[in-house]
Amino acid sequence: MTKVSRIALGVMVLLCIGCAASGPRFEAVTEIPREKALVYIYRPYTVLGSGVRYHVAAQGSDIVYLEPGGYFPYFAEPGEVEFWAETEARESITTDLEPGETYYLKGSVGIGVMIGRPRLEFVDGSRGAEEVAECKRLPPAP
Amino acid sequence: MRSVAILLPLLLAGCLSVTREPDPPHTLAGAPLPARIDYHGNPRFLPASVAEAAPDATDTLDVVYRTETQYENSSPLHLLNPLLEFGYPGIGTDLTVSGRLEIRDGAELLKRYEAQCVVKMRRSIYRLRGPSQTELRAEGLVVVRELIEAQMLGDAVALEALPGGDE
Repeated sequence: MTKVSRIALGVMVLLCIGCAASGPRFEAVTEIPREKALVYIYRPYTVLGSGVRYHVAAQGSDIVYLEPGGYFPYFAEPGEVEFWAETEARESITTDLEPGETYYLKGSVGIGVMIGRPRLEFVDGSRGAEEVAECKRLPPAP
Repeated sequence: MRSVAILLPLLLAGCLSVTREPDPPHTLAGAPLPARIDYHGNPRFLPASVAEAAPDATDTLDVVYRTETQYENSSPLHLLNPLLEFGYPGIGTDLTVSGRLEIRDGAELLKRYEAQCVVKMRRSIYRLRGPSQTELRAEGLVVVRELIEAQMLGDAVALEALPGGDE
């Protein structure tokens, strides 16, 4: 391997690895506002793809800039809600939210051509509660 | 060889497949059964064989409609497949969409209809645009709606015997 190839490989590896979120530790929401549903949007930290970050949006506005190891509690209007994120390609997921209920929307990064693509999935309560507890709170999207 | 390696992914960039199991029956729903409907989702996915009863209607049945979607992304082991580099459509999502419609008279369950549809999407890594999970879910919910409409159409005689069924 030539010196240039080694440097290029090193740069690529550095681009793929990013820092974890650095906010306050997880604190569970104790009260959901009336006529709202609680959606924990979170992304467990993994080294692979951690350099890729993206906004998660729903109901017409950006909610959070999702970094690895971070979470954000979002109070959503109940009903059918579409959550979406975009890097080189857009991904979205939709579910029916019930008022007073808690949901866990997990973000990750899937394979892409130039850059990893966002992956969004709703996970069940026990798994979501366990994984979000390891995350740090992110600020809301500006 | 190098040009083949560049051209092949370009040729396969459009590789995308979406399958539904079962396919929608494409039957027309019968006359809608008037009822008090308990459903919080998108009205587009509610079977047309039921309709909200007039507010002043008496002796009205209750209809509860619930749907559920389970997602399963392709295994991370697929990433080890060297054919992905050449556009093999190995990445994707499987959705299982299910629906259940219950007709009740107070606490008494009179009828229950259930349906399920599996929607599978496979794409190559070079495919930048394709159906999102939202669109796949919508496809599945439409199929489930039509399956339940077909079941209710096949049960038309029994439904007509219910209160309000002959309206």
